[in-house]
Amino acid sequence: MEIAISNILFAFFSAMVVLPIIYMLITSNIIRAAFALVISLLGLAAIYVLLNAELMAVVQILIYAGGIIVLLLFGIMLTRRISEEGVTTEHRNLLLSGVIACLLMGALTWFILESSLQWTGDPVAIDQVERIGISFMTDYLLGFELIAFILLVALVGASYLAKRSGNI
Amino acid sequence: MSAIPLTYYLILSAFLLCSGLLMVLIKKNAIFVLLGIELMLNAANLNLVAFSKFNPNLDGQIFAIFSVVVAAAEAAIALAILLNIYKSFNSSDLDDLNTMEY
Amino acid sequence: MLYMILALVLPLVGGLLAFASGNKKAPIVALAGMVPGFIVSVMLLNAAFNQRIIARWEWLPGYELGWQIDHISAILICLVYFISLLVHLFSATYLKGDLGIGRFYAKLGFFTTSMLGLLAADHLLLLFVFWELVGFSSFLLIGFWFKDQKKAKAAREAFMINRVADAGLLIGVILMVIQFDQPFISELGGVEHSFLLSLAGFGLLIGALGKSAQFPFFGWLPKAMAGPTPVSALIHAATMVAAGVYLLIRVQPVLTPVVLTTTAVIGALTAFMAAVAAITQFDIKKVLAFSTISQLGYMVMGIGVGAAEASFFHLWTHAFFKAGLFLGAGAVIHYLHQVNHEDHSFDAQDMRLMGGLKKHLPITFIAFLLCGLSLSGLPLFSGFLSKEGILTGTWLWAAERSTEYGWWVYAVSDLGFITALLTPVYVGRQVWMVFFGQARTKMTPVDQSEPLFNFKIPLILLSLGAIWVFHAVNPLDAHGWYFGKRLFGELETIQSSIPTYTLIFSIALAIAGLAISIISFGPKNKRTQEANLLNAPKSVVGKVSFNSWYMEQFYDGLSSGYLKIAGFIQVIDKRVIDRLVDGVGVVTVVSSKVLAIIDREIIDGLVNLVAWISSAVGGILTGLQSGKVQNQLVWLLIFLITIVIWFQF
Repeated sequence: MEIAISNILFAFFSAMVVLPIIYMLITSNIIRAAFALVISLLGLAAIYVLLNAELMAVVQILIYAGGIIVLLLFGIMLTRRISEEGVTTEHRNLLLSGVIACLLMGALTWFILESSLQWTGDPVAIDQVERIGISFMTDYLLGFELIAFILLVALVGASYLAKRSGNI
Repeated sequence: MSAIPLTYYLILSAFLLCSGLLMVLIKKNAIFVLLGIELMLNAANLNLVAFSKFNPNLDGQIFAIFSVVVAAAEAAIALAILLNIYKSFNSSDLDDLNTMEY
Repeated sequence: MLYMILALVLPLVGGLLAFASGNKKAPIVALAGMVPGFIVSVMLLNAAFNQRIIARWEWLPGYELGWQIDHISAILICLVYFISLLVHLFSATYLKGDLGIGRFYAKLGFFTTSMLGLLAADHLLLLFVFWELVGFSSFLLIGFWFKDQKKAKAAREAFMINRVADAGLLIGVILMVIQFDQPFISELGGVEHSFLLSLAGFGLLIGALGKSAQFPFFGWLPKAMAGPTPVSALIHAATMVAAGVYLLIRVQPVLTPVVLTTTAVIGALTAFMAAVAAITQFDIKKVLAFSTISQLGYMVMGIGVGAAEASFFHLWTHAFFKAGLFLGAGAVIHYLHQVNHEDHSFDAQDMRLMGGLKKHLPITFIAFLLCGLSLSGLPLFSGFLSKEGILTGTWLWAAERSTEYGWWVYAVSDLGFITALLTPVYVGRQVWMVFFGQARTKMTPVDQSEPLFNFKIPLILLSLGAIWVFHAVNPLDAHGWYFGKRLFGELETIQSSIPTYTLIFSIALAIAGLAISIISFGPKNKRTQEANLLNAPKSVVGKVSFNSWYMEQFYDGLSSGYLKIAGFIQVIDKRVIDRLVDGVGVVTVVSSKVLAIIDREIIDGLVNLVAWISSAVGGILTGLQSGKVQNQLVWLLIFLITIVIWFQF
């Protein structure tokens, strides 16, 4: 019975990921697309929970659904005057790109099914957050420091680039 | 709990990648292109997390968190550049930025 | 080992410190990095002559990267240092007062370090990395005055043409590393000839052709003249463009005969085309740019015909006299800028506005003359020695191959000789137009038009390098180079009368060329006296030459019927694209609606059409034509998927 429930959950959340994306591909309204992306990212967070990756799910909601989406919305609003009918965009190269994407999707699916990868071993224990924190402070300390530094530099750089005078 | 095969997650991730790619290719607006890139990054994250489910080291999740941070930095920089482009070209359509074209 | 690290890092450190220390002190600080660097490089030369320096380390488990300095790279490192040092000196005055001079020195140091890294790299991947760095830093330097839209654009175009060619190099490198397991340059060789090897050879060749500005990539070098003149002297005369020749010399052991023959033909063709183009230019730097292309064509041809040691010798001598010519041109431009300071529309590079400069710039005149004579290949000058070697090698090669390939191989050596005739013509024309005759614009004496230390010393040193004694004892013996035996070992003596004929021919051709230039461009000639009224030439030949064989327009491809060639290519494009699309099977759908969409795709992406012909011609135009990133991405992915599917099934 448990199996059935997790299957149903997976199907539901996958739909929650996939459908908004398809909507994003069809629509030409940027703001709607951004909100569709929020739904899809939340669905992805749920999928992470299904994968026993709670920390990742929280990070996903905080950073993607929270931070990046807000950033994107700001970007949209700053580069478009909403009052105009400027929030829409056009499509191009539909045919070729569609063929490419379908080909790639087909190829990837084929490889995945052909490889018939399996999970081995037992699921990871429940105290993941603690263990991830410990590895950040031990094995991955250098990477952790570096990524923090990169984030800082990127944010400073971004605010410099975006400053009003625009005179670099 | 382990009843859902790994391949399902991988196929979901492949779908994310392909739709992100399609979005990058067909949309004329630069912000849409950014959305597509975010989708592709998410596809990579999903793969990493899925593979790390049975890994006691949790390497995959740690990498995924790194990549989320990089994605955040990338989005910030890209939007700042976009604002500058908008200032000088008064447009965020990629077609208007073709100064290399004759 | 320590020397090597020091030699590689010092220019960059000097440049960065110069950047940090502000505009006023920048030249001195940068020189403080370069002078010890030069000394170290001389010691390195000494050490490398005793024993090859090799450093390897494990990069990934079971995968090594490595550095190596042998005779060839040590000598080139010295050369790069020498020219770079002089250019550092020269720019201190040339760019005095420019607000970006600190930035300039940082870029210059960055360039020097990447060039040295390129010379010291042993692993092909490392070589590729530095190759890209060199291209990128050259882009930075060309676009030094990036606020000028035109110059920024020229820098971008030069960079993009290079990138296209670099794709070829990448293919070659990947094939060599993965398919043939030959990642180290010092251990190349011993591979069985096969189709794939030829393919890898062509890839490497395309990369070298791009960097050395050979046909069909030579359009970028004249554009690169948008950078400051000292930069042109360093990058576009002496060092970076020589990287392609260096690469060809290095990978020669694995090049198959068909690749070598192609190399020879392309080199000869480029030498000829560029020499023709140089004759009608009015921009003082563009003449020099085309002559550089032409001389590089000689070197490439020399490698193709198996006269690598002569090519290397030519690379060496060419670096001196061409850097001298560029710095001389820089002094002229600097002087004209000083004189016509208040007139902003004045073009200080236009030779039509010069004339009679030998009175005002005596040292520059002498240095320019010496280097120019060396370039035209007169005996007693260094250019004669090395050009002689290449021409002899080509003739011998043609004589040997004519039985196998047929009569056309003589066309290669004939093009070489015709170029030898054309070279003195454009050199003479330039000297007459710039230094002799009446001044055609305002020329007043200025204090310090040739500052002693910064201008005269580099000019004098480089023009000394144009004289034969500094390279060989016998002014007529092409194989008497001091370093020749150390680098390439003892050469077998040639049992043939061809060298003697070559000797006589090339002396006769050089003198004839100078005579032609006196007759048609000398100060007595009417045309020269009215030179400032000259317009672009009208005749067909003149037009072809003035527009440098329409190469730039060929790149531009898209222009709306402005050029017949462009229009013609467009027609071909449509055919090719249509057929291709047919072949792929996209057009098989019958409905008119789908056809309409494809039509729109075609019209919308005219760029794509050109991208396609470019891949048909040899992948020339892809990066340049299309301003639409997404179209390029589409084609990129198509190729990627094709490759993946190809390897999978």
